[in-house]
Amino acid sequence: MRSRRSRCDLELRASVRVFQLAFGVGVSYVDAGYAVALGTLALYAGWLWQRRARLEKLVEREKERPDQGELRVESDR
Amino acid sequence: MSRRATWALRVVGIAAVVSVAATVWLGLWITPPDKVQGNFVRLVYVHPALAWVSLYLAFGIAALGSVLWLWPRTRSPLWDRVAASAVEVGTVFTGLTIVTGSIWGRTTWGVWWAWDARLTSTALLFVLLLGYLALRRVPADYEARARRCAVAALIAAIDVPIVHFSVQWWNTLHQNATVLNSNLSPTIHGSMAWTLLLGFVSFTLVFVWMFAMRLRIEKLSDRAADFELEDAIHERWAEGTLEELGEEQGEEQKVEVRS
Repeated sequence: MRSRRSRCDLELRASVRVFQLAFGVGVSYVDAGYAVALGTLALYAGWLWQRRARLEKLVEREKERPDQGELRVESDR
Repeated sequence: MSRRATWALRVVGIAAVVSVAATVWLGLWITPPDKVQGNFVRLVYVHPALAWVSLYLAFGIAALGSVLWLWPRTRSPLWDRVAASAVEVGTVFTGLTIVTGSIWGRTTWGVWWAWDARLTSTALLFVLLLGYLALRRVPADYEARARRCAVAALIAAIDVPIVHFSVQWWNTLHQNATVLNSNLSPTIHGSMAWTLLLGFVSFTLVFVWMFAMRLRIEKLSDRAADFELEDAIHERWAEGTLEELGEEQGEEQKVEVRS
């Protein structure tokens, strides 16, 4: 418990230090705002792309699989 | 997905990237600093556009989808998927609205956060959206989950007009609407107004692309779940058949021993 708390403290202090360094080397609040907004949107878009690609592959593989018998699930969705 | 839909999605995606790049270029390099806010006005080209998408676009679609799902005549799985997709993408935009607003507040008001009516109601909306996403993950049958989520989205939608009118109903630190004010006379002009407008268009395009992608994921997830269900039934079926076979063989052996 104690070590977990100290690790959290360390992570928090490290994050604060990164921000201090970033602002210290001339990253303005405006740059930070744009970076956070566009960076998050880019990451989320990438995650959506990856999720869609994985699911499409999965569904394609399932469709190509030989039929296991007469039983088919009639989806209610 | 049909070939035409894939093509349209690709066009929207490219248009979104190009328009966001143009907004950043105009916002950071071309437009002049503001007389009062200085360079910090550049955050205004992003923040209200994000708020427009999260509050009105995403939430409007989520509320509409939820109503159409709850209405028995229009009930269709599509509306549940539409609401869920709009809420997830809307949550990302609401979070970014709060973060960019907080950075702007730090530069203009001198604080990262204030318990102001606009900020508090937006934070409440963000929590309600997270609640919706959590509710969607609670195991339940399809109908129960969709009903629960539709009701949750409509409850959360009550907060949207509160967020919108909060600056008029209470004395807030947050400024009133600059463009869509009550007199409909924008107090912003020139390159700033055009950049702001481009920001709205570009983030709307980003939302459209993300929403379409998320909707596709929702549909594919349902199909994948159907396949999983089918597999599980097959497994149970095979187990049952083996058990029956085992019992029959056991009976035959008993008969042989007796004879």
